[in-house]
Amino acid sequence: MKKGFSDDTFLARWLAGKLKDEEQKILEERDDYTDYLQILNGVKELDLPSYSEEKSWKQLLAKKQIKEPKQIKKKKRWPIYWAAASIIIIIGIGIAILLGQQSYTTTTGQKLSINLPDASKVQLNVSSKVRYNSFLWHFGRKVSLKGEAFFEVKKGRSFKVITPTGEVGVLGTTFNVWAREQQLEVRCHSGKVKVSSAKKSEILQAGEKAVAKAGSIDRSTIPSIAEQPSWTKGISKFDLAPVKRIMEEMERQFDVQIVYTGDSQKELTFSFPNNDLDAALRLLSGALEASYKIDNNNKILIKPN
Amino acid sequence: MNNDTPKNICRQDTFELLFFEHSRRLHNFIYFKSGDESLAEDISQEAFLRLWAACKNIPYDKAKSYLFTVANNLFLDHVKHQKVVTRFRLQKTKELSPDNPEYLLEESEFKTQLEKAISALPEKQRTVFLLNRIEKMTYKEIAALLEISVKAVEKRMHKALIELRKLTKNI
Repeated sequence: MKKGFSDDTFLARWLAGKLKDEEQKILEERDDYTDYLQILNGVKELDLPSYSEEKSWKQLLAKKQIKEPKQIKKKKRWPIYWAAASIIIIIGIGIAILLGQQSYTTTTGQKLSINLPDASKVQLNVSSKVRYNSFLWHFGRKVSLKGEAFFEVKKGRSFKVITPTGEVGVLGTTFNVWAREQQLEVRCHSGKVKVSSAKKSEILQAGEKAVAKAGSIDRSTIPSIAEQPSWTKGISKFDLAPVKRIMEEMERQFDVQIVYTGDSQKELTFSFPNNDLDAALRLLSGALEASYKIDNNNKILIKPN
Repeated sequence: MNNDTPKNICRQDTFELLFFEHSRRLHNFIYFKSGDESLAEDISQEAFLRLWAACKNIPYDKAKSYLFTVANNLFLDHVKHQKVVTRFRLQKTKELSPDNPEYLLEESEFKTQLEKAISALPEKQRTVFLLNRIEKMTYKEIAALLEISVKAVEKRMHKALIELRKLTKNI
């Protein structure tokens, strides 16, 4: 006769070792106790049929290749291709920009004429430097200038000249930009020009000039403005300019050093030829009522009489 | 919410990891249920294939329950349409036993009976019993896997032992 158990989880709790001591005693006194032990022992020795994960994985891969939807493949590859493509494009653009950098420098006594990509022209005076990027030109006409240059700008998109003191914005016009010694002087020969410096700006018409320095811009009229500045024709012309400035230009034009013992702030209206130093010195001394001497080091000393 | 990218199952290396982690147990699970080795092989592979197809939508930590649910459903589908041939062929491990032919004969006879008894167990009892005894899963783990209570697991264990005894003793 078979005895029942106190509850229907008894044997489960026995297997898990969760029987109370009294319960364990009751179990061990049962007739069928050894039967259960035998079953457990028998099951212990049973093993599973051989299962190889490796083999199964290989079979799975084979099945997977057939079933794999094409979209997943594309999705996996696209990001890599797009990343590679974008890097190449960025590098390519970078190289193009680097190769597009153009820079022209004149030394003392040297003049230069430059044609910009849109057929606008720049005439560079002595000791000046102009820079622009031919690759980026189509996105905006931008030129940086240090020194002095005369611009003939073809009508078109915005044209900007960037100098250390300020910016000149143009639309189809001719103008002279003088950017030296923390100053910016712009003379508009034709058309219209906007000069900006330190958040201020002035619009120049033909025959007007603007001087920007120390955060201010002064607009004034040029009495008789030629079609082009005279330096493009080989003559440096000054309208009530301080002697200091005249001499500095002379130094640049002739690659000389000038020492003047008189008042260098005196203002002169004066012109000198850019190709004849002796004539220039004679004219200057005459205007200053001084005499000049060239010493052993090629230094020119000008002394008032 | 964690902003880190969770392990992406759609990557083959991650998927392979999941496979080696779960395939054996998944295979055994269906084998215990069915006693049909090739069915267990087919169903567990099919479960993984379906996981792969749905890889975009399954987060890594839900993969295991997905696999077992799919496998279970495939098994139920199979049972609906086909009779399952339950034949447990559980290999015997080599045992150090006294070189007594009678003893050995008795042993092997019993083992054959045990195999038959296990095959004859109702599937619910058998699955729980073998998961505990051979896979060494705790009642808690089995309960979580089968989505039943621990008490229910214990009841099935208890009944399985009683039934096995009945079957092996020809009662």
